[in-house]
Formats: sequence, C-alpha cells, structure tokens
Amino acid sequence: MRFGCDARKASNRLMRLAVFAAVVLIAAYSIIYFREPFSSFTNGLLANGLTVMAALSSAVSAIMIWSRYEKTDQPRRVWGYFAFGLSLWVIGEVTWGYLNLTLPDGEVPVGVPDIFWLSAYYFLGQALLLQYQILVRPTRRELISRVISSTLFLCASFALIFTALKPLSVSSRVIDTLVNAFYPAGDLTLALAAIWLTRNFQGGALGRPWIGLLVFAFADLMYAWLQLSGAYAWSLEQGSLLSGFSDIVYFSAYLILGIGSFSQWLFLKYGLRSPSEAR
Amino acid sequence: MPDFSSIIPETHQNVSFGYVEMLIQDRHQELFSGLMRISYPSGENLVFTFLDGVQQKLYRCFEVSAEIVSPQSWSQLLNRPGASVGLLPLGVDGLRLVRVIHEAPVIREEQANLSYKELTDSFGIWAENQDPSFVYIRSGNINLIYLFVGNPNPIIEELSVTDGQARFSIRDAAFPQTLPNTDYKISHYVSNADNDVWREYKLRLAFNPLIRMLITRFSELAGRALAERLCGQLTDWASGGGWNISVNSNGVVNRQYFDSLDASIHVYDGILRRFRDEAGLAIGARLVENIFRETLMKLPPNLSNILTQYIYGQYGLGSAALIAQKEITQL
Repeated sequence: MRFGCDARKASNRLMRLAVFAAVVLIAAYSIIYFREPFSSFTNGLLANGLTVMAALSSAVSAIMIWSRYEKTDQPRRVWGYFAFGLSLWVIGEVTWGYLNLTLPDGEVPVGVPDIFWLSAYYFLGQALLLQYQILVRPTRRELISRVISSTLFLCASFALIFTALKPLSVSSRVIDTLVNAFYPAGDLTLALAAIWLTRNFQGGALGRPWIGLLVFAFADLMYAWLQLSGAYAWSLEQGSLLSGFSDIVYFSAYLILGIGSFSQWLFLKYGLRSPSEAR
Repeated sequence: MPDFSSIIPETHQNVSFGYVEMLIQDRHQELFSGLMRISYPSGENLVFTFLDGVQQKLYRCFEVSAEIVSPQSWSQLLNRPGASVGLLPLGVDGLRLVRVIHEAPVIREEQANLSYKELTDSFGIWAENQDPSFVYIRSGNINLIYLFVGNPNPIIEELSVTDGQARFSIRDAAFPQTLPNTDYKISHYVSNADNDVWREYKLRLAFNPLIRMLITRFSELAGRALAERLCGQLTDWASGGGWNISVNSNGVVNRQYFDSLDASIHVYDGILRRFRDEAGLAIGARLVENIFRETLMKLPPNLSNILTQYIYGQYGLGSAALIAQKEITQL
C-alpha cells in the first residue's frame, strides 16, 4: 500500500498487532480446548469468553468501518447493516455461552441464542444486497430478480437440507431440525455472496472483509454440517480431533472476519495518503 | 485564422530590436501571460504568446493565415528596426483559444455585414454546424472572437477585447441576444476538426467529465474521504510533474497550456494510470477496469470516441467495440 511514510508505519504496526493478538487468542483457545488446564467450569468460561471476544472483534471492526464513512456515503449503509448483523451474532454467542455454563448438562437447546443468530442473517443479507446495489447499480427489475433468485436459492437449499435431516432427527422437535437446517443454507448463501464480492474487489483493500466473511461462512457451514450429521457429537464422545478442529476453525473464522474488517478500517484511515500528509 | 492582431492595442511605436528584446525581458520578469504583437512598417505582424513569463509560440500572421515560427528563427525575424509593439494580457483559457484560431486550418471563409437580427440567426446556424469554426465580430469598439467547437459539443468560447482589456467566457447559442442592437461586421471561418489542434482541444473537453465521473463512481464505492485522498494523489502527481492540473470531486481544473496533442495525451494518460493504480489499491483492479468501461459508455459518443482513440487504446482498457458489449461491463 502506498501510504504516507508515517501512515504506512502506523498501519503496518496496527495490522501486525492485530494478527499477533489473533494468533495468541487462537493458541489460548486451543490450549484451553485440548489441555483443559483449569477446572471444567473455568475452562468453559474461558472458552466461551474467548469466543465472545472473537465475535466481538468482528462486530467492533465493522462498527469502526461504519463510523469511518461519512453520513452521505453509500457504503456506510452497508456497514451499518453488517455491523448490526455481527452484533446480533455477538449477543447470540453471549447467550449461548451463558446457557452453556449454567445449564446442568451444558447442552444448549435451540432457543434464545438462535433468535439472534437467525435474525442476523437478515441484516447481513441486507448489507450484501446494498453492496450489490452499489457495485452494479441494477435497475429495479434486475434488483427484484436478484432478490428473488437469492431467496429461492436459500429456500431450496434449506428445503433440501431439511429433507435430508428429517429422517436422521427422529428424537428432536421439528423446530429444532428447521433451525438447524437453516444455518448451512444461510451460510451457503452468504458464502456465495462473499465469493461474488471477493471476485469483484479482487486485490482491493475494501474486499478484505468479504474474504473474512467467505472464510467465516465456510467455517460455520462446516461446523453446522458436523453438528447436523452427528459427526460432532460422535467426535466428542470418541475424543477425536474433529470436534476440536471444527471449534477452533469456527473461533478462528470470527477472528479472520475481524481482521479483514480491521484491515479495511486501516485502509479507510490511512490509505491513499500522500507522503506529505501526516496524521 | 487571418490576422486578428489588430485588436491588440499598440503601446510602443517605431522601436528598435534592442528595445523589443528589453520589452520581452520585462514580460519574463513580470511573469506576463498574454499576447505581444510586433508589427513592422512592411505590414508584417508577429504575435508572441506568453504564459507566466515564458514565450510559448511566435505566430507570423498573414492576411488569410498564420504560421508558427520556430524558436531558432525568432531572433532573425525580430532583428529589424521600426517595430510597433502592443500587449494584451490573457489567461490560459484565452491563450488556448488564440492557439486554436492561429493553428487550426481554415477550409471556408465568409465575410459579411449583418444586422443584429441576422447575427443572432447566424449564431444558431454556426453552433449547429458539425464542423468547428470561429468568428470575428466587430462593431465600433466591440471586438469579439467566438469559437464554436462544432455540433454536438454545445461549447462556444468567447474572447472579447474592449479598450485593451481581454475577457474570456464560455457562452451558449442564445448569447447574442445580449449584444447591442446594431450592425456588425463579421468574418466567419470554418475549420476542419481532423487535425491535432482540435483533437487536443476536444481531448481536454472530454477529460474533465471522464475524471468527474470516475471520481464520483469511486466515491460511491469507497466513500468520500478516500475519493478526496485519491484526488489529492492525482493532483500531487500532476503538480509533481510540473503540470498545472488539479483534480477534485467536480472533475479537473486544467490550467495547463499544452502546445501539442502528444504532450496532452502524455499527461492525461499519466493521470488515468495513476488513478488506476491508486483506486486499484482500494477497490481492486477488476472494479477499476469496470468503472473505466462503465464511465466511457456513459459519456457522449463524441467524447468517448476521442478518449478511446487517444488514451484508452494506449493501455489496453479495451476497444470501443469491446466497451459496447454490455455483458462485459456487468459485474
């Protein structure tokens, strides 16, 4: 990046710091997960706390981007929705963590956290739709057509996953299966949108959050699929690495999303500055 | 255009070559911009153009045409006694107009005495003509030169000279209605757009909306703060190269006097390359290419054609045919 000298230094320093913090957090999470150095409750508290922190980092980075844009800037609306969606995920993680620690068996049923997680998809979808509008400037007809096709894709993948899951989920309630089927469908839709955005912003600093979203969507997709297929539960029982790997990937994906967004914030703050500009 | 140097008022008469040289030196020192007319008893008229104290060109004006004198011959041509000298301060806009009317070829000429009504009617006809043209209008102490870029460009430039003071303005075809209701002597010269003087002129016309649209689109994608910084980068680059061009969100403030088409292509091309490099850091090379194509498609064909021919073709942003393919521009 061709920043001004001071700006470039500050930007590189902050970016290195963010990456270092992310690596430390992943290492801490992995140690807590595999080594379980403290009591069961403390380990759970720390693991949940770190997950909330990772989710918070992505939401805060998105809010920072939002605040960096001026009120009349079109991307500000994108980041308003995106930050709100990520904030709902943070609340989802907090409530899930709380229930995980307070419920006797630690198993959190479909319920309050899912309300936040699921409603976040609407706001993330709005953000992506606005970004699409800014990039393509579609006609009203093109926009409606794109919304319909995306909704159809979401519904079709949801229906397909639900149909595949229903015979496997004999013991669970239909609502549980419906909610669980939505996550991979929603993630798949987000991932496709993120691929499209990443492709369009190819090489640009403003495309980095979308790379983060892509990584997150795939990680969450993998996590959801392992949960639904029963592989996650099997792995926990067998003490296999699969569940641990999946949890760490999910945790890391939040951090990657946060770093991607932070990188855009850095660019908005320091990017395209002349060497003479110093701040 | 034939000799119009008579509109430059004489200030020194019957002076020696040495005195002329001294007057030129004075213009250097006071960073004079404008015209210096040097006429001789033989009837020969020479016109120097100055920009910020630097001599740009020397025109030798004949009754029906003008030629550019090469700098090597300046001393030889001026080294004569009995010169009369006149000065007319002009800004860069006026100097550009003067360059066009001296250097653009004239393919047809008409002289007429027109009433006010006939003049206003003629203005509409001249403005509608596809060929560029210029007209010299005289009446009493009114001396007006108009430059018509040619349909579909609605631009009409005016240079009015009254009492030794020149004023440059941009007008439209309805303008003559504000002229005094009197009779006018006009000389109308139709030019041929197919030469580098007009190409340089039209490229400048096209470059401003191009940059304005590019910056606007970049601002939509990346926000105003980054767009303003990008403008700053482009301005820094241009001023660093010694060109008097600045870029802002409204387009280009182009105060640069280009004496050739190639010189202008070099600078405009450089600014666009810089735009591509800097904007690419933010939104990626693919989007930059797309907004270039998108912008070119939105410009009127006369402007996009000249940009495609002289700038876009230079660094492979795609041919006009490619640009016309809508599906390629779809993201």
